[in-house]
Amino acid sequence: MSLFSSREWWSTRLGTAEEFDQGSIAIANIDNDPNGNAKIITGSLQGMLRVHLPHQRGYHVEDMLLETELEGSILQLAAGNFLGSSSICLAVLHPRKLAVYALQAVGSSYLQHSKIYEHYLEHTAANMATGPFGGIAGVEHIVVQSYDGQLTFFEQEAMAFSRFLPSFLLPGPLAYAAASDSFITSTAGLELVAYKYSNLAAASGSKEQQQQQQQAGGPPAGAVSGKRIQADWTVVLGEAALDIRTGRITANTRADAPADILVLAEHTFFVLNLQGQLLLQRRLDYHPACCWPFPAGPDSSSSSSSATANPNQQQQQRPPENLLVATHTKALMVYRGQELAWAARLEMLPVAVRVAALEGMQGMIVALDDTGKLSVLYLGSEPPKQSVSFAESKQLDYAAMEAERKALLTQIKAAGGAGWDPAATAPAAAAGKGAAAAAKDLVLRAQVPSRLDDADRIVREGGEGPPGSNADGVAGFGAAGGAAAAGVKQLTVTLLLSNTTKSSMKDVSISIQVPAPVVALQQQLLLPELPPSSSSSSSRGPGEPLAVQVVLQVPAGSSIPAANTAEVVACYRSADKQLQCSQLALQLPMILFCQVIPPVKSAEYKVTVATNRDAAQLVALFGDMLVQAHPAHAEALSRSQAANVMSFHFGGGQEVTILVSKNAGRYRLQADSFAAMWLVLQELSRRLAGHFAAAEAKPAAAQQQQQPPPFSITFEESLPLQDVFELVDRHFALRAALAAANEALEQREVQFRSVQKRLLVRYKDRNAAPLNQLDVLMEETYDQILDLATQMEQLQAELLAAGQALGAGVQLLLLLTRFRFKLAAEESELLRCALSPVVLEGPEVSWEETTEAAMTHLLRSALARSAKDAAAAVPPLAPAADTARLKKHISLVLERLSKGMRLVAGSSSNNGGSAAAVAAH
Amino acid sequence: MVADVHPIWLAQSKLRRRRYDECIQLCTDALQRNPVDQVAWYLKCRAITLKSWIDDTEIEEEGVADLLMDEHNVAQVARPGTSLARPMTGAAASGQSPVVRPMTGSGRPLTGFVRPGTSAARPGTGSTKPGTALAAALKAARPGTGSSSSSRPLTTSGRFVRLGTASLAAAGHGGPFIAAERLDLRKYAARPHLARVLCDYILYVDHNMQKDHNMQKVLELAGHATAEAGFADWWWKERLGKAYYQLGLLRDAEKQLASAAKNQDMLVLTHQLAKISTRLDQPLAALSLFSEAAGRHPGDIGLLLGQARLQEGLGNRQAALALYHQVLALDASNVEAIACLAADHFYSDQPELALRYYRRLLQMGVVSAETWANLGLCCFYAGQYDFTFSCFERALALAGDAALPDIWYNIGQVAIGIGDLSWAQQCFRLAAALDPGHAEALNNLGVLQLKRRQPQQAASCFRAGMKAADHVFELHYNAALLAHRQGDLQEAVSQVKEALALYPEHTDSLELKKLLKAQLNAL
Repeated sequence: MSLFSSREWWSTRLGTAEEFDQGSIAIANIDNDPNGNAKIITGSLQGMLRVHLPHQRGYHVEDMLLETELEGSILQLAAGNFLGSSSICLAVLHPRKLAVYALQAVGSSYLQHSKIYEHYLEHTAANMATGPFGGIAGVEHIVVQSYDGQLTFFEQEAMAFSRFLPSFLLPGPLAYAAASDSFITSTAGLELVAYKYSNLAAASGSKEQQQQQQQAGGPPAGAVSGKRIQADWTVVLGEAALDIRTGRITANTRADAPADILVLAEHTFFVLNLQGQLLLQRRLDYHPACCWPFPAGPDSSSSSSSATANPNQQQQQRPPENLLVATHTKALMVYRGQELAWAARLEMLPVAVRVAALEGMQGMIVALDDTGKLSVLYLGSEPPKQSVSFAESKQLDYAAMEAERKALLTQIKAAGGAGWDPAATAPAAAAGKGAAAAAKDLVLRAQVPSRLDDADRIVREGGEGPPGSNADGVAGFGAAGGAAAAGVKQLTVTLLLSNTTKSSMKDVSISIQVPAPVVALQQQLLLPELPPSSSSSSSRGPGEPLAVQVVLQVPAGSSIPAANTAEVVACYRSADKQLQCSQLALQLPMILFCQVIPPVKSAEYKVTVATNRDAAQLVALFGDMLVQAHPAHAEALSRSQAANVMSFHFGGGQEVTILVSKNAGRYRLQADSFAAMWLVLQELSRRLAGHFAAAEAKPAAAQQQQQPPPFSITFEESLPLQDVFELVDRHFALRAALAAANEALEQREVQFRSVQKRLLVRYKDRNAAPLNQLDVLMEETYDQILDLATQMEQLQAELLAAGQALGAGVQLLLLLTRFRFKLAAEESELLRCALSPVVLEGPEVSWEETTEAAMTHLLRSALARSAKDAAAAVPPLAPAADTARLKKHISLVLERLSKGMRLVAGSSSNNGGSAAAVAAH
Repeated sequence: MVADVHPIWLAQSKLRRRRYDECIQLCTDALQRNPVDQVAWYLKCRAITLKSWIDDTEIEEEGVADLLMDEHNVAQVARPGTSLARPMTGAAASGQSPVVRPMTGSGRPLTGFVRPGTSAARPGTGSTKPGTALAAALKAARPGTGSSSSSRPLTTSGRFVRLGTASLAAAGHGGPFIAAERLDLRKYAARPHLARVLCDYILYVDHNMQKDHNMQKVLELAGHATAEAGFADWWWKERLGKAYYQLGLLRDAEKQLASAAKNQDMLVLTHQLAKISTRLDQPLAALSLFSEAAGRHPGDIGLLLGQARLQEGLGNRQAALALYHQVLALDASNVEAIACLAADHFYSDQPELALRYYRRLLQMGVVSAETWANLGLCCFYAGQYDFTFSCFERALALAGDAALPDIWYNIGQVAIGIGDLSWAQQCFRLAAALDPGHAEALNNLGVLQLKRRQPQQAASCFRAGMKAADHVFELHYNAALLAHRQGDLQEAVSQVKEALALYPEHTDSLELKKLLKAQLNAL
């Protein structure tokens, strides 16, 4: 992150697929040109040696002075006075060889290299350092560090001596500090170690000798070269050093102070003095790549910046140096002491940077990255412009913006976004609108067979059925024990999807929601694409819709359903990427839930409804059921054509019987279970209505009976409120039990946690107090938690069943209410909204509370007797303590209905405007 | 191609160039040839460690498990100005009042720079009700319920584990590279150059063991090694401290680090010690640590920034500002300092100055949705209306899911500023829809509903807001006002008390309370 970016003055790419590292670059006046022009010398690991001299901005062919291949990789280059004469020559380190070359200019355009001397190395070399070791003047010597810790000293053509460093594992960067005549390196132990040259020179040479001495515990007396190598000082840095340099960084030291040691470590930059004391440390918030100290200020001569190999010569006059650090975040930092003097962005990730005077220009930065891009940069001071374009020239078209806003506002208004109810969030409104539009686009139809699938077609759960799609969702406990496949009923529904648009739909997902005991083997179907159904030739109506098979199953021994409709929702992306959906409600056939059995006598609960027609024949009405009944039963029933009794058997063992009184057109339902009756009653009423409608539609029939009153069912008895209330109470009691169990579980959990914590303290303590039965307590609590959890699971299952029974009971109540008060379809729909048969379990409020609220609302609005009723305050939705109020309110609502008050404005003289309010509830 | 280069040399070079995968590959090959090659082992170990290295000197977020098992009792009711949980407010300090400058979820003033730990509360001390802190933390940690920004890692080791497994997968086939539980650590402790890298490896990488076990291994190794080094090696003591810290034994960690600091004065140690003090909610101790170290290391940015963060957390605005200015004098491109200064200028009603700072950030390459949104706000309040919308447009274009709610909220503020209330309402609705826990948006939405004479909806907005967050005192005040208007004095009193608990000097709340008192007395 920096304001400025570096500017490229000159750049070139060295070779192809060559690699470079830290030591692969040297800058010096290598051909001893009298002009003193510094040249850039690079050597790749592939063994290519190149010399460049940039002349002007941009790369030109004549800038390259030499390109030659040396035998063996080039690990490191160093320029210096290795001959004793005053001329600068080049030392090249190969893995097994050290060679010194002299380079001479031939004409003005290229150089020639000649080998002066070379040394073959015994051990694989790691790196080298150069300098006037031992304080000699006028010549520089070379030391090579090898991979087994041997330092080999070369004095020009001669090999002086070699020494093994003690406790060595891996070579670190090596630097020579002339002022103290010592070598600084970092060890594998993340320490910085300094060795005096004199100490090294006087020590014993071979590794074995040293080891012997170490074992003997001291130098044997009389051995001349028997001194052990001892570090001058050691500092633990705790980080591996990337690079070690010498230079004067600290600003407040005297002008003649010796150079400091600069260590660039992985996360910190250290400055030490020659005695190994930490002068400065700077934690870096980036990963450094390489560094280079360079003299700050204009008073430094060009030679001082280029003669990198012998820092001591100009040291006395040098001002404090700046430090250049290149980072792995592609930035170039210039530090002056502690201060960050400059930061610039960089286009490359250099492995080595240098500062040099090129073509007479001071302070050019030479950077080399490891793929061989060599650049000469300068620090541009012009801030970059491209990101500051927020003062853009583009004129804002306010008129167009205003028009767009107006259009959007009308759209929002149309979508019903004017008011805001936190319960209904914005996406819901949008979805509603989308659904309305989508109804035309994707037409869903279903073919529901009236017959169950054959037994051999039943898909076994976990068998060949699609994996992962079986009953893990809605069905819950009802689907448990899928092994009892014998009693499983299966129905295959065919869904027909037709795309009426011209373009294909994407990502069509169809989800099927079925009432409780029913299980959809695939709750979710995904179609990646739905092509338009209508072919181009016949544009009228949907052409061939896509058929999708949905398998529904009812496991044996399942309970009474609370609803007999399944919901199918198809979501899809239309051509303009809008998410839309369309839905369809499926009437599930009765056969899925119950079957015909020989008449039984169980009359615990009775309900009698009357019709205004003659009695219909049961066998005709329930023909489809009869077909699929057990053959023996079916035969018995069909033999007596005029049977006036028929019994149905539910999966859970409940039995419902219909008795027909032929004369009065009355039907009596008898059952051993209150809840079970609703389904049979509903089916009966539906089938009766259908039967008579069909019969009267025949022209012959129409002539005989001249305009009879429309078919209707009535119910004259009192409503079975008590039975419903029993179901409510049972549900409520289970909820209370569950809440109590939940609370107990919470308490145990708190107890468990605190026991755990206390135990933890005991265990942590060095002299722990006795456990004092805490462990027993913990185990007991744990057992209790497990017990409670099992209990809760059971309760939850029971609650679900009770909810289902309650839903069924409410369904029956709704049906009977409709018959009793002759409610119109619209009204009964409203009542269904208020007194919902859908029992949703919530953590705090559940069916009881919401129904109570709905009842109160009905009493306040549509069924209000006086203004006082309407003004009653609505208490917030809160968990109910008991069900007395609910029962009272339900009875009250039904009572007022019985008194002729109506929910819909048109049907009664009651106050209007309440219908919308009820619907919104 | 580089046939004659020694593979170890190449590996070392790759390590230096941070090409860890290539380095690991080279070392693995070398180890296959010679399984007891110490150098290859060393390099591979270091490469794996560096790959998953994290700077752990900054204070990190505490996991739920850490909070659960935290037994360091700190003062629940600390004196103002001595605890990060109770920053100075109002006239007592130079800090800005919460009316002007919003608070973070933890009840600290909003800072300009998001660091780990600034956004989330420190439950146990920060919240008003001590018992509810854990529940709140658990609630936030549940995936899917809370917003992504407020969720808390289940344990801190959870993050470590993730980092660890990623690098282990890279470490190659055949299980982990080093099985620390099988090593004879005493033997390794005697080899100084292997011991350190092994220690770092266990600390940073080897998390396939249980976290605590893993730290115990570090303790064992470091314990042997520090004895080996004659108890004079700061590094081993620092590692001991680190391991103790991870185990939650803060006092032991502090002891080790202080002892290490006696051996050698390292900056890392100061940061670690200050981190422990901050964790123990002793910001003043941390401040004095930082300022002492700053005396010894003049001009170190890290120390100054550490002090500035603490001062800001304590509500010492002036001190923090001075420190940030010092940081900028030393390092002109410090993003954190610039951002904090910009935020401060913005909230002290100098949007023009803040605009300059934010523009500088943008020029430096900090191009994010947040920067653009801040620029948009600055432009708006500085009267440069023509730039406002293009800034917000860019912010929306750049924003991710986490930033979008806040950007819409800010656009809503602008909409209020230009008087287009229906637009503002739509913006707040968007903010609330994107982040159901955006309490500020819900609050503003409620106020707008009140304006539209829909008190029911307004009340439900306030309720939803209070449920989502408990740091916005405006919600409580507005709810109190609404309840008072509707004649529900009981509710009004309880809400105004909540508001005053969050911001004791809020004048309007105090007045409302007085009024309520008078009315109740009259009854």
